Amino acid sequence: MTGRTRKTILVLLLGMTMAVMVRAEDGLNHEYKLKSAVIFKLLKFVSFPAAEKDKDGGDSKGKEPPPRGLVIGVCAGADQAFKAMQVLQGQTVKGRKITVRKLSEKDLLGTKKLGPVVYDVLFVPRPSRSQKKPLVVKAVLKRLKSPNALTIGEVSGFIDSGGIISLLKDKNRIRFEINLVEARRAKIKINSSLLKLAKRLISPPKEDD
Amino acid sequence: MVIQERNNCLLIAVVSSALFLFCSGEVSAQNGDGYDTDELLNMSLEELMDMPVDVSGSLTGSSRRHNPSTVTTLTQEDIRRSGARDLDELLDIYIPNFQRMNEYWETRKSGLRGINSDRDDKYLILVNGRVMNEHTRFGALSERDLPAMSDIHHVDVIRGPGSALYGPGGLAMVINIVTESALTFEGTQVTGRVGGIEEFYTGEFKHGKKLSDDSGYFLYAGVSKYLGSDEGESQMDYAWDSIMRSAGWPLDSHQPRNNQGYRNMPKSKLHAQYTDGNFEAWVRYTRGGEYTASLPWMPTWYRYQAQGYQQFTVSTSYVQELADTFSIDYRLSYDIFDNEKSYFNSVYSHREDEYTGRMLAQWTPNDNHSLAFGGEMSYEQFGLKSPGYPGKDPRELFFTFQGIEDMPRWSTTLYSGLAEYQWKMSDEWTTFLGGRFDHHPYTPNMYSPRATLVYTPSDDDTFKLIYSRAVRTNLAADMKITRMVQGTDSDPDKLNAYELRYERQQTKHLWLASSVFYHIHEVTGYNFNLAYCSRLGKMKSWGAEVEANYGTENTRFIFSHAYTKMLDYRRDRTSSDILTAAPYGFGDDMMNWSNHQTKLTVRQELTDEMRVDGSVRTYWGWPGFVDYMEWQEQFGWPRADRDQFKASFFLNLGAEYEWSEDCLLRLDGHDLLGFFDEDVNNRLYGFDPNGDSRSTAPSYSVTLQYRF
Repeated sequence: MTGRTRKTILVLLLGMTMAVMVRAEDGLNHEYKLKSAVIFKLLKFVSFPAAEKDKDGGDSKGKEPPPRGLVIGVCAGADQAFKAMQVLQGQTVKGRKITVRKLSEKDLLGTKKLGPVVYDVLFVPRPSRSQKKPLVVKAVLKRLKSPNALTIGEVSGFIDSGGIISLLKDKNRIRFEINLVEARRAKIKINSSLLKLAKRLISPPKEDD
Repeated sequence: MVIQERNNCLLIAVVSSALFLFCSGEVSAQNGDGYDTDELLNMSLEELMDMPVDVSGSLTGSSRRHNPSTVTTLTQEDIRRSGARDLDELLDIYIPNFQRMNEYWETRKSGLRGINSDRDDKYLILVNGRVMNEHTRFGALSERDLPAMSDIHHVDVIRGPGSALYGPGGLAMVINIVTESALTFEGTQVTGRVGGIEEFYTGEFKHGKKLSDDSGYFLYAGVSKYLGSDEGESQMDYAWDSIMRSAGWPLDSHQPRNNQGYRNMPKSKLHAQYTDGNFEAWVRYTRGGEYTASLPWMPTWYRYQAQGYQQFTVSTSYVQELADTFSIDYRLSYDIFDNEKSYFNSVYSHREDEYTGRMLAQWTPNDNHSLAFGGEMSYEQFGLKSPGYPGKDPRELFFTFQGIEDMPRWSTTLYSGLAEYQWKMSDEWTTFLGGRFDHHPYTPNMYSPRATLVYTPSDDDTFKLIYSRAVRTNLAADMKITRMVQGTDSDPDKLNAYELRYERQQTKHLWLASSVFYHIHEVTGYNFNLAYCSRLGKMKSWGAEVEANYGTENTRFIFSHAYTKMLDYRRDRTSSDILTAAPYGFGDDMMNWSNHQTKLTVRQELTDEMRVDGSVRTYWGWPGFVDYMEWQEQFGWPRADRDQFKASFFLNLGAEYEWSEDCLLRLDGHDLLGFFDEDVNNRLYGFDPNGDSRSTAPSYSVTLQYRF
């Protein structure tokens, strides 16, 4: 092989990488990919309050309408979170097709009227550096008119400040904590086998206490 | 000339295929962390919770994207679906710019990015973060040849220097084998594997039981009878074949079977691990090694050379969490390494014992700053009696070369300090500053700093600029000889490495990466003038690697091409080596490295139960070796055949059928092109002026796995 051929090949190979740099679609970070897969699995253990039927759903013959889709809102925060959660778009959980929507800081903290979307799941990622104000879970739920959404966060103390599930990194693995009190308030049922896997559980006080 | 043209055409064909692949636009869900999205979504919650978030390559912990090193991770699925029969073959299939070659005097040699040697002493092999290298005279000897690999949860390969983290020896790369534990494997699994033509029989058993959410035990046993392939199926190709045959030299029927197990003893691996929260303890025993071919001009009676080993390790670790932001990782371990070697019909065996302790504190005051610092100590005893040959006194050939018949017994203590600071300056910029200091009584003090700047301008793009200085103490026997013969310290290897890496998540399905590296290496290795290892000279080299990983729900492609080029080699006046003929005015390439290497792996899911796999590895010729032969021929040596130095291709094909979640049947074909042309499977014998090669036998294996 001549030196010229080698150089040609090298240029080809480097060029090959550069040539495809002009297109960009989706970039996923391993931690968020893992978290989005964990969230997908968690949803299988969760029962939401009776899903609203599609407005156009039923017909005059009384046929049961299909279940409403499941809407996941990804709040403003680390950019990678929304990218990763998008892999759930179109997936199905318990017959409900998932839609993933991005909620900007403006959506969450502004005063402009929002659309009529009701969120079933709200993922609150770590705040980004550019974020002006921290998100208050209850205020967000109120603003989004989704008081019964399953809130999932990833900062420590999330379930102590009104969140239902927090995903945490512990010993280099993803672990989760559950606040059953908040889940009950939101009329969300969580399967007991999921509760067994939780690292920490905030349970409602027993009646005889 | 014809061979060169054929090589060029094939190389261009492969590159064209890759270009076609990239330009076709529709590629699949895969990125560089070893797991694709669909794979993750199909896992159970428990499996996802067992998956590590951060990978090896940093003291302070980081995700793959922000890792200060270039790391490739191979999962248990990667291992199974490669069909690899040992760790060397696995790395040869997947790791960009990883090369292996045969060697007459010991056993196969591996290296990365142009850094290898006639011992496997330029890289580290770790199990669960503990260095397993033999230190007396070889290096990374254990683990690599063992066919039983079900105990491995994943393998992290740090491509590039790693001695800032893992200590002296991590020049070319660091291979960290992470074993299964009760937290990653529950239940019982048995695996049987039989290989034909290259004959072997392997049985494996593993059992994991959780005692609570974060405690449990894991047990593993794997045994292989490795008979290898006979001479007819894996022929030697001597560079002076025609000359020797015409002289009536008995070239056939005298070499051992290729890859035949050492002393025909089973290659074994036993592992037991107990985990309880932050505490972990494991015990591991391995036995392996193999026969190697010997030089054709050697008298028949000492042609059987072999290199074997036994290793027994106990390791414990405990992470004390003093606060949410502060923890201390304590590690203690004990290791016995028995190096068993047969040369010239004599046994040269000896044992070394090592006691190590490490304490590493990690402080993460907030999300943006993290600091790890600590110390390590290793006490080693050398020249002990080999348990494999209890009736024989310890012996080492290199002492014999110096007229020292009785191998001395001596001990050393290595003291080390290490630290790393990670600073996330902004969403886009992260920097790592760290280093390690090592004090060893037989070598000057060693420093190995490392600095990495990671730039992530968007969600899809990652740039890394890495500077590492890596060191390696000379082998213990060579340091002892230097002290006994010259009364001085022995020079360590020193490598200054610069790497610029770019990674891109091109689409949801396509991940791309490229690296350019530059090395300035003060080489310590075997010096023919002294008959032991000493400083040889200074070598400068550079290289480039491109990688692509593409996967859809059913298809996956993993591609890499690597180029490595020597820029300069200044040999010391007092040294003599066989690294390159460049100082003599012959060429400008490394002798024992193939400048171009291409790897491609393809996987296809046919149905939920049926999958097929294929891989091809290509070494595009050995121009540096040809230069060396030409230099030798100036002195009247007979002209050697050049066929040995042409490109080699290794094609594996596999298929598996999963009857149920519990039962899997797999069929693999290994090095299949050899059925059509045995020369295509040639493996060169490096670090030797002969230029001989041996073809690996085209062969097959059948695996049956059952989980209770």
